[in-house]
Amino acid sequence: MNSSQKQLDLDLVILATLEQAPLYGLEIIKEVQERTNGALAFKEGSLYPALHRLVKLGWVLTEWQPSTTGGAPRKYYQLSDSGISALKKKKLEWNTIRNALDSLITSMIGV
Amino acid sequence: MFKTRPIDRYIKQATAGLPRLERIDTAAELRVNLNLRIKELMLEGHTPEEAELLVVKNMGDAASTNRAFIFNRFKLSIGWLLVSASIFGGAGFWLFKTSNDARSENLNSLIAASNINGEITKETLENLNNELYFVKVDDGLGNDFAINVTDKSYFGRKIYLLSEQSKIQPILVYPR
Repeated sequence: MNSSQKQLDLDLVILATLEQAPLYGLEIIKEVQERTNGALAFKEGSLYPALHRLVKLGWVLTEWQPSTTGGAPRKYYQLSDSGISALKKKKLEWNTIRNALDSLITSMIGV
Repeated sequence: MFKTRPIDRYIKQATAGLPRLERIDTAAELRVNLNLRIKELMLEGHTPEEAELLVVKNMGDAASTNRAFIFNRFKLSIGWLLVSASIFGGAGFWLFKTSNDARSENLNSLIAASNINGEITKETLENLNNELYFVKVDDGLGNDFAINVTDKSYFGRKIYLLSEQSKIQPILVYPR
């Protein structure tokens, strides 16, 4: 998997995770692990640069909010309108790739 | 002397080189999340030192994270640079093309204005009166005519107009 493919995946993972509700960094990681049963694991250090990139692209908005469970405020991320559009596009791209790979693998198994 | 905590070292290294406000914001975010992780691990029975070391280890290489932050900025700057270059380049090309189109129109007008022998007469030249610069036309017989064209690149140059009849008319252009 090349770097642009990985980036596509990570962007998709983050955007899809934020689709339901605004989350802060640690919650995003936990949500990904929970929803994928731990199958998708990435170094936490790679999450924050990716989030910042999405913010700079205008796909994700940020807001510091007081913690509901006490402690320091947290920086929450949520999808912007352009982020929702980007997510739709990336889902389509992903479906195309997945279908193509499924076809390829199925035909190989058939051989 | 104070010994720097691993979490502080990580944050400092990961956010190095970012603009001040962005660095403070990012450092605060990282600190909050790392401290939450540390608390979780302590609840699982780790000592504070163990928890901190484990959390920093899980973050991965601080230098890689830092490179990613810096690369994002660089890449987006390059992106904007390319967008700007495209816009200004496109505008420049449009102006150049418009100028060329205007020149072509002038030449075509002149050629179209020539008579059946390809000669440009004083009367036809006088009809081309909406232009910005004078052009001196030498008809080869010592007669000069003044017309206006828009193309500065003709300044001081002798150019030749070719009609469909291949009649050559040298013209000399000079500013008004």
